[in-house]
Amino acid sequence: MSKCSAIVYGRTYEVDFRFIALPENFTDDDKKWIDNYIKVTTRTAEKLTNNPRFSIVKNSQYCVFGVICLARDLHNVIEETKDKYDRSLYGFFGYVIPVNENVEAIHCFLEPNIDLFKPLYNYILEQWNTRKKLSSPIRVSYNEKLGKYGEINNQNYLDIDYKKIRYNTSSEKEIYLYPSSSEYNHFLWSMTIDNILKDSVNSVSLCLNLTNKSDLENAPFLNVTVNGINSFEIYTKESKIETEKYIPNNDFTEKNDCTDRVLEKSSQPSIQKGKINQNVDKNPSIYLFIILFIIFSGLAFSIIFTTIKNLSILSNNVIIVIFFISLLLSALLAFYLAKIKQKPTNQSKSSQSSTENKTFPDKLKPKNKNTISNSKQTKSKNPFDEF
Amino acid sequence: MRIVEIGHTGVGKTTYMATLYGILQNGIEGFGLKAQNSNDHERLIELAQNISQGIYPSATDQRREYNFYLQYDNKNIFPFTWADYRGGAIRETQDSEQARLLVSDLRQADGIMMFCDGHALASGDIRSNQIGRMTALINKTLPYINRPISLAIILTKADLVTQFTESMLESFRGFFTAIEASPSISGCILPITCGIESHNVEKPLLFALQVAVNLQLKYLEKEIAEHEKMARYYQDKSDSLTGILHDIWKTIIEEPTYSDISNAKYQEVYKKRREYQPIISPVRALNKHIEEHDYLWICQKK
Repeated sequence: MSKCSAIVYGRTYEVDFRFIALPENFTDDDKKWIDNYIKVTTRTAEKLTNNPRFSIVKNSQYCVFGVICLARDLHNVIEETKDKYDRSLYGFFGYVIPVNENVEAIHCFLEPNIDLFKPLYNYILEQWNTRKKLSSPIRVSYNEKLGKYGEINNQNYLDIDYKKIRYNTSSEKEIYLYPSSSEYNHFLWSMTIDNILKDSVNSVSLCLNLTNKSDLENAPFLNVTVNGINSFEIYTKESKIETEKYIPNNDFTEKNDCTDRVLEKSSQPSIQKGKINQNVDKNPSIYLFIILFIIFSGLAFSIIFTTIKNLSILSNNVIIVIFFISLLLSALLAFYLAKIKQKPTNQSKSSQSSTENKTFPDKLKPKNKNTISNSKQTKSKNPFDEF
Repeated sequence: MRIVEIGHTGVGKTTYMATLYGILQNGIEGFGLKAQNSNDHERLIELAQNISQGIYPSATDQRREYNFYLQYDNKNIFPFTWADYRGGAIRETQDSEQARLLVSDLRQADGIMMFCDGHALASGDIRSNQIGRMTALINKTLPYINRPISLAIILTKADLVTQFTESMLESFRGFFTAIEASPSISGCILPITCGIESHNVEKPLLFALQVAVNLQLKYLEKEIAEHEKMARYYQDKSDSLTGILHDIWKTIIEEPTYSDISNAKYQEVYKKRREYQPIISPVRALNKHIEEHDYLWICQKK
């Protein structure tokens, strides 16, 4: 006989979302395991109207067949499908089958059929009038009754063109995405059942009819059908969705760190080897220095040589010393001139900034002359000094 | 920047976000809102359209984070994250992941929106608003908040209230005292209406962002000042005789000279000024908006 237990996640009239029913032997880890899947299927819940999301999840111990749908899809009394604030309720309703004990029960789920899950709404009704969240959900035993649902027409089962479908059973870093259509839903559902029955793969997961790709963030599913795509796609879990452009968050902690770094540097202005910013632009005036150095040293040599001809009394050593001194002086002079030449470049950049600054209102001009400690002490009516 | 909203289930958190998004598509006083993710944009627009027809969103069952830009004159100015929680999170213990995330979010928040059902308050229903739980949560995070933040107490469903009276806020008394005593929290109370007709919807967001954007401006000013100070320091060093000799040596061994460092610092100044300039007018406009409109202040930290 088929033995199943139940998982029900949803909210009741007054109390917010929680697990309302769980299998009697489910541990906290099992609960976390299934919760990770359920939390994906409940995203963008407003799109559940006429679009229930079926899922199959299997690990080494359990196989779960479930659906996320509006309460009114499972229950006819409308008053019992809306919460205190008149919002339509929705939830996850699933059957749990222990993998190693009874494969028979799986044959009840050969097709995604919402009618199978209708009896599970009784768990919601059982808790309907509760005003406080219970500390633990209803523990459901593996009950034979749960598996006895309807004769399902499974003629098309296994009638699949496997070449049409790539099915992911191994790559946990990827999700295989297919357009949400009855054809793909049928194929993928059948392939999933097939994989479970073959028992050749440990981990199987499928979700049908997700709303869009952005609902896949942190999703543990391996195979999904989703609206808004036209053909097969592979979603890589590490990277976010292509259309999503990540902008680094300029929060104040970062800003604060940045300011702190600046402050640190200002208090220790000495240059330390290897600690200087790698992106520092090398001074372009080095080329100017070389040119000036060549000119000055050339001039110095020509002066020395023309003068020395007339001063033959000087020894060779003195001539060498004079030669090196003139070389050094040429270098210094060239370096100094190169630096003077460079200064206006920096200042022009700075003045460009200050030109921009001229358009700022006085209150908003940066107080360049103030150190941070000074600015803290300054009392001002400037609205930006409020903080 | 991070905005966090908390409130009991059914108070209208998601409704508020969607209504605000819909309204700010046309801009108010130059301000607009744009979702960074196109799917979020489409979803919020659709929800806003439904709300304007009296169809309210389904209950939220999990935390969801949205990334937005506050726009000014149709330009993306301030990126920020808005964390939307399911109402039940405030009732959960620290064992729950949602509750842990909420506490962590509150500690990092630059703006907190605390939602209360105005209609329930007016009819004396304190229990359903879960004010005690919300204030306890925020009080818990106060010791960890060491920077200026804003706290907006949003009274939803204001259209159902004939008159707001001081006695309605009696249950907040202790909380107000705690906010006043805090050196860093500015707080105000904002009644709003979301639905077929919406009122005051833009105010909570603009208030929640105001403190953070001013702080951002302040930090930029500090950074500019510090980079300029450093640039001048190294420039002066490089002009001295020892600096010249030092630079010759550094040039020979191919390491950055004082002059290089000074140059790099000037480039930083230039870069920071480029970040600084575009946010000035939005910040001024935001401050002007806050000054000119009637905000019911709990306290405004100077």
